[in-house]
Amino acid sequence: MALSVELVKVISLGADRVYLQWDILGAKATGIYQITIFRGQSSQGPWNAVGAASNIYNFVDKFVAAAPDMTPGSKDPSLLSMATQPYYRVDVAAPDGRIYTAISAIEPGLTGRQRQARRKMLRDEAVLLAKGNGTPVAVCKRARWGVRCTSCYDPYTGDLMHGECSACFGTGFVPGYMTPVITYARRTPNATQSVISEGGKTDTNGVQITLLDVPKLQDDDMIVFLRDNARFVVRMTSQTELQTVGVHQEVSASEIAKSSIEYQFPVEPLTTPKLF
Amino acid sequence: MLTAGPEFSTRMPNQHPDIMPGSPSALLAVFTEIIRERFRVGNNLPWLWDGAAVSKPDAKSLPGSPRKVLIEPAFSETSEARNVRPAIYIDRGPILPNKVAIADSAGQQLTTGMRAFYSVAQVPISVQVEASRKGESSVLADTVWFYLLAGIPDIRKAFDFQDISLPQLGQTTAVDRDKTAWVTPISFTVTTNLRWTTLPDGSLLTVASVQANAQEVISHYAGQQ
Repeated sequence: MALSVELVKVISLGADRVYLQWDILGAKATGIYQITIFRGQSSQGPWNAVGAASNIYNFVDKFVAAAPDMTPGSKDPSLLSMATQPYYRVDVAAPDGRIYTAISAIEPGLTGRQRQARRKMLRDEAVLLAKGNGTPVAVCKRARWGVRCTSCYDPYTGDLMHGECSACFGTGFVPGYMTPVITYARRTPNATQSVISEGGKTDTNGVQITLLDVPKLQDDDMIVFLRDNARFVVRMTSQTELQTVGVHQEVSASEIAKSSIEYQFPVEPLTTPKLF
Repeated sequence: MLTAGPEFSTRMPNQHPDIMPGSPSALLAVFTEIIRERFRVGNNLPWLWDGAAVSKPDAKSLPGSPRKVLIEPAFSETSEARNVRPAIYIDRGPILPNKVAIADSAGQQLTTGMRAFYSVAQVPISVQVEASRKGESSVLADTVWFYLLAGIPDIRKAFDFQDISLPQLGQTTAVDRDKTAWVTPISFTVTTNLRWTTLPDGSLLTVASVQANAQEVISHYAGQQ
């Protein structure tokens, strides 16, 4: 499978910010993936670089009042103005030096009114979670590309020889999880079920977690509830959508046993900026 | 050095007195201890069993340092270590006795009337090797499998087994726990000796029967007079 880049989320987070998230598929080479993000006024450009970093999977583009890339006389780039439709381009420089590109508009496929409705629903959900029934969580995307763990990864079989590796936290990539994103979520009450199986007593605690639309979650990602440090692994995701554009997401997750290595992954809520 | 309870018996020393040599609980204890013996301190393996409860992993430990493995009989209701991995669970399947002599007879003592019997029983033993990652489950199971394979003559001799089949190393598959875990099964069959005797209760029964018949006859003739 050849390497490819896919922009899975390009949505506005209010009037002055755009959230971008991408997947790098088929990334087998170990090493640093250098990411550069561009903003343009059409799918053909011209492009202005708005950010660059290595081994990141998302980016928040904060608009300024007078964007330097706007030509004199053009309209205000504020997303409140439905007349503008910025495009984004993400360039991924693989460890072998080759560059892979993905381009997307904001909320592609939605008309102006639909975009307004989606933003309204997203904002209402954000207010509800932040001021009502939500609690702060750290969303930790499992690393699926980057620098392979040299202490437990076997390059021939692709297997991990150490399930509780303290270098990669059982993911096969260093440092295990991408930089956490602090956001809000609510979860259903815990219902711990204990069963006796061949492996002795086994506790499972399955919950439903409601989060905002971003970051987009996949199976094996981890959600850390910051108030009680309960950590959950994502099993299944489903999204509330408006014409195929996500509004918020419902996640089926299972609490990870306290003895697992995932509890050693550092989450620093004080130093990580909140998404909202 | 692992030794049996009484010399050459299928039972661990200091087991509960209700557990008979060769019984299912004795077999589970024997194979649990045999596998634990392989992972004791000083064996220079990536895994370590020291009898202590498995605690949280130490983030400061080096990735290559030995990590604790839980080794327990399967379906343990007293083990409070939950969702611990890597772990090895030992269990047995249904026990099937086989006939090796006519009426299982091994001999008879004419003076007392005591009869001796002999048979063998085949006991499937299963070992489940569970780990958080497929690779670790596979490698740990391979270590256990080859250890059992190489140790068959010594295990037979130490614990008086009639026979031990060559162990089979199964496929590593995913199972659903608190998070996805990986299990590799190892299976083999041990053949244990079954020996028992019967006391001559038959003669006592015969006497009782004759006495009962005599009473019946006496009553019958007494009635005719």
